[in-house]
Amino acid sequence: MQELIDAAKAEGELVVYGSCEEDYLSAACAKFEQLYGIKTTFQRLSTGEVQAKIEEENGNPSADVWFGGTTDPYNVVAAEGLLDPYEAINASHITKDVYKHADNMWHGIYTGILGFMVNKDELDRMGLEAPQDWPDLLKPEYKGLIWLSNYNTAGTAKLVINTMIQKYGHDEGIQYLVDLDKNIEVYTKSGSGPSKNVGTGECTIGIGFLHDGITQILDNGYGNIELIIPSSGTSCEIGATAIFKGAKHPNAAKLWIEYALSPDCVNQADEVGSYQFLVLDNAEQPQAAYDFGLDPNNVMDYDFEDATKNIGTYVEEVMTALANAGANTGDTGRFQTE
Amino acid sequence: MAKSQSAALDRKKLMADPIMVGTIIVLIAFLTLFILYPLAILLVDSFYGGTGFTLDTFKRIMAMPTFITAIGNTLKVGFLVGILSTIVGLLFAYVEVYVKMWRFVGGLFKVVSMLPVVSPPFVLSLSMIMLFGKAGIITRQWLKIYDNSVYGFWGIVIVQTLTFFPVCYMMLKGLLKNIDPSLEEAARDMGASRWKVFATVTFPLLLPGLGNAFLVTFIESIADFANPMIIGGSYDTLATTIYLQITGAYDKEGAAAMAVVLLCITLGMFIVQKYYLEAKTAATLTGKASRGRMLIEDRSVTIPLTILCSLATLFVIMMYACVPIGALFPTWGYKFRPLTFKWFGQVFSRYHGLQAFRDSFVLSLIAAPITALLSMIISYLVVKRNFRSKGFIEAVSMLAMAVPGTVLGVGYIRGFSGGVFHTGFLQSLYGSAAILIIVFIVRSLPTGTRSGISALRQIDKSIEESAYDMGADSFKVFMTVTLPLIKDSFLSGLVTAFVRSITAISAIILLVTPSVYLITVQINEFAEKGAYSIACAFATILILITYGSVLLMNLFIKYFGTSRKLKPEKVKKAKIKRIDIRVVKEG
Repeated sequence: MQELIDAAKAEGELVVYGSCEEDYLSAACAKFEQLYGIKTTFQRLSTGEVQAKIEEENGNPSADVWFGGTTDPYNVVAAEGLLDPYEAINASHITKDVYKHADNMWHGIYTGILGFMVNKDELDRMGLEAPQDWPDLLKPEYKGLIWLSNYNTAGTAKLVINTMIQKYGHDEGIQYLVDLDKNIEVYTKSGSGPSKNVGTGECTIGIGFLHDGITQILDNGYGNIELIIPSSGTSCEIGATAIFKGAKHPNAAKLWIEYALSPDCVNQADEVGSYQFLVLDNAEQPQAAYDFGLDPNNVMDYDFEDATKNIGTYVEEVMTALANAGANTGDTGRFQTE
Repeated sequence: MAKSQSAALDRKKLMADPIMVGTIIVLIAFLTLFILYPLAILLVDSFYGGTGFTLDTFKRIMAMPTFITAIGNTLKVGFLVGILSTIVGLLFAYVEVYVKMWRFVGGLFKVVSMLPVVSPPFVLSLSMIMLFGKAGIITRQWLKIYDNSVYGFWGIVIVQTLTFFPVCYMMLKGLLKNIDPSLEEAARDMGASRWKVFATVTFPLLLPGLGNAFLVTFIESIADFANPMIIGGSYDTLATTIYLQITGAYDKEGAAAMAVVLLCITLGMFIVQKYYLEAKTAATLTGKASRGRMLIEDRSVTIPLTILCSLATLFVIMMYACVPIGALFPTWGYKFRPLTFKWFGQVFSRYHGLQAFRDSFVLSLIAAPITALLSMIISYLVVKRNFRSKGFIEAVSMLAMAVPGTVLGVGYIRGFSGGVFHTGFLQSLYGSAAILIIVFIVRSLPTGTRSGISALRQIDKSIEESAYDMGADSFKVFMTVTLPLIKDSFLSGLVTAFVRSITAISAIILLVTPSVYLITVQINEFAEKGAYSIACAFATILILITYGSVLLMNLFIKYFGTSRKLKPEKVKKAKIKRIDIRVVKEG
C-alpha cells in the first residue's frame, strides 16, 4: 500500500469524472487531495456523457478515473475495453459479490433504491392519493403529473427499463413503459432531475432514487415530499468507480480506487447530502436512510448480467415502441437532453 | 508626387521610432493571433475535410433539423426583441427628453439603465422563472396559476427585451437631445398637433437612429447565450445549439461550421449597422441643439406617460430585486419564511465561493488595465498616426464587436487546444487562466477602443507635436501628454472592461477548466440544476462586487480625473464650431 501511495504521489495529479452528485464528488476529491497531497481536479458529467466522451477519446482519456453513477454504462465501456482492471486491496471489505465486476473492471461504492417521490401538497390540492406500486402509476388521474429521466441519457432510467422487463417480462415490461409514457410530463436528462422538481411542485410524482429524495427533504428542507417504496418490490442501482484504460496517472488512479473503497471516502457521503447505502463492511451506513424506511436488503433479485448485456437493445426497443405508440420522442422539451 | 513624398517621409519618421514600430508589431501580432486566427481556423475547420476543400460539414449540419430550427428561432427572437427594445427604449428616451416629469422618475430611469450593466447576463432569466414560472412566486403562490410555463420563445423575448432596452434608451436619448427644438416648434406654430409633429418631424429625423438601435439589439439578442440557456427550455437558439454541439455531442467540426453560420449573420448585420446606419444617423443628427427645449407640461400627456414609464421601471426593478430576495428564502417554492442567510453560507462553505470570487475578481482585475491600455494605444494609433497597417488594426479591433462570444469560444477551442495550427505551439495556453484573461481582453477591446477614439478626436494634434518637437519619443509623448488628456476615457474604459469581464459567460464557459472557478459559470450551473437559491446568492454577491467596484472607480475618477472646469467649455466650443459648419453647408 505504501508503495502505491509513493508511486501515486510521484505522479502528483489525478483527474476525476464524477457521475454522483456534485457535492459528494467535490468533497471526495478534496479529501483525497488533502490525504495524499495529490492535485485532484474533477468534472461532474452524467454517466451517458462520460460514456460518450470515453468512447470518443478511445483509449486516450482526458481523465483518469470515473467515480459514481450506476454500473450499466460502466459495463458497456468495460466490454469495449475502455476500462483498466485493478484488483483492489480494500475490495475485501465489499459485502456482496454483485457489488463488483467479475474481472475487477469496476468496484461498487454505494447502492441506491428505486422508488417514487411525491409532493403531498400538490396531491392534496388535486384530491389524489399517492401511488403505492408500479401499476398505480398508469392510472389516468396521474396524467401529466409524473416525471422520469431520459432513457437515452440517464442510468436511472435504464434501470427502470431493466426492472420492468425483469418484473413483467420482456414484452409486457415494454408495454408498461409505453402505457406509463401517457402519464409522463417530462423525461429529464439527469437521473436526479425529477427529485429536484418535486419539492417546488413543478413535478408531482417523480420516479428515481429515493436517496435523492432524502437529500431534498433533509438538506433542502422540502417537508412536502413523501418517499414511496413500491409495494410489490423494487430494484437497486450500484454506484461504482473505475480506472480508464490509458489513464495518464495510473498509480494515482489505483490509489483512488483504494481510497474510494475506504471509510475515509464513503463515510463523508451523508455529510454532504448523499444518503445511499454503502457496500463496505467497515463503513457507517447513513442512519437517515433507515429512518425513512429504506432497506438495502429488501429489493427484488436483479439479473445484472441480462441488464448489462441487453440494455442497449432494450433502450432502442423502448424508444421505438414509444414512437410507434405516437409519442414524439424527438421533442426535446419532453425528452430532455440538456 | 507630393503625396507619395509625404508618405515616404511619414514612413521614415515612423521607422526612426523603434518604440512605435515595436508597439505596432506587438499589436498586430496580438490581434492576428487572438481575433483573426481563431475565426480563420473556424473557416478552415469547417471547409477542410482532411483531404481538401469540402462542403460536407456544412451539408451535415444543414441536414440537422435542430440546426435549421435554431436558425429560425434565433432570427425570430432577435427580430422581435429588436423591435420591442427599440419601442420601449424610444418611449423612455422620449419621456425623459420631452416630458416634464417628477424628479424621482428620472432617478428610476438612471437605476434601470445602470442595472443591466452591473448584473451578470442571466439574472433576469432567473427572476423570470422565480416570479412567473410554474413554481413562481407571483404565478403559483399569489395568483394560484399552477401550470404557467415561462420556458421558450416568450420567456426569451421578454427577458432579452428587458435586458437590452436600456441600451436603446441610452442611444436614442442622445439622439433626441440633438434634435433642434426649433424644427418641431415651427411645425407646432403652423398648427400641427403634438402627434403630427412627432410623426412627421421627430420620427423621420430619428428613423436611421431607430434602425441603428434595432440592429444593435438584434445582434445582441442573436449573440446572447446565457438567457436562452436558462429560460429557453427546449427552444434552442444558435448560441445554445453550438454550445450543446460541443459539450453534448462532442462534435467540434459541426460546432465550428455552425459558428461560421452564426458569425456570418452577425457580421452582415454589423456591417449594415456600422457603415450604413451609423453614418446616416450622424448625417441627420450631429452637433447639439442650439437651445433648450420647452418641455411638455400638458397633463393629458404627462400623467399617462409618467405612470406608464414608472410602472415599467418598477417592474424591471422588481425583477432585479427578486434575485437578492430569492437568495434568502429557506426552501425555494415551498417555505418562504423565515428568511435565512444559509445559502450565502453554503456558497462559501460548500461551493468554493471564496475561490470563485477570488478567481473571477483577480482575472478581471488583470484583464481590465491591459484592455484599457491596449484600447487607448489602438485609438491613439488610429487617430493620431499614419501608417500602412492602421486600417487593419482598426478593422480587426472593431471586428471583435460583431463576434458572438460563443463563436469566439469555439474558435479558441479549435485554434489552441492542439496549439496554433495543431502544431503544439502555444498549446499550454489552452486550459490555462491566461486564455481566459485574453478572452476578457478581446471581448472588451472594441468598446474601449470606440470610446478612446472619440475622446482622442477632440484633442488637437499640435499639443503632441510640440512635445515631439521638444525631443520626446513616442512612448514619452503617449504617457505624459496623450494619456493624461484622455484619462477620463481611460479610466471609464478600465471600469467597463472590469465589469464586462467579471460578468462574462458566453465565450469562457467553453474554455474554463475545473481548476478555475468563475462566478458566472457557477451561477449558470446552479440555475440549470434548479438550485435557484444558491444561484441567486452567487448572483447577489457578484452584483455587489461589480457595483461596489464601479462606485469605487467613479470616486477615483472624481478625484484623479481631468479637472472638470476646463473640459465642458472646450467640448462646447468644438461642438459649436461643427454646428456652424453644418449650417453653412446646408445653407
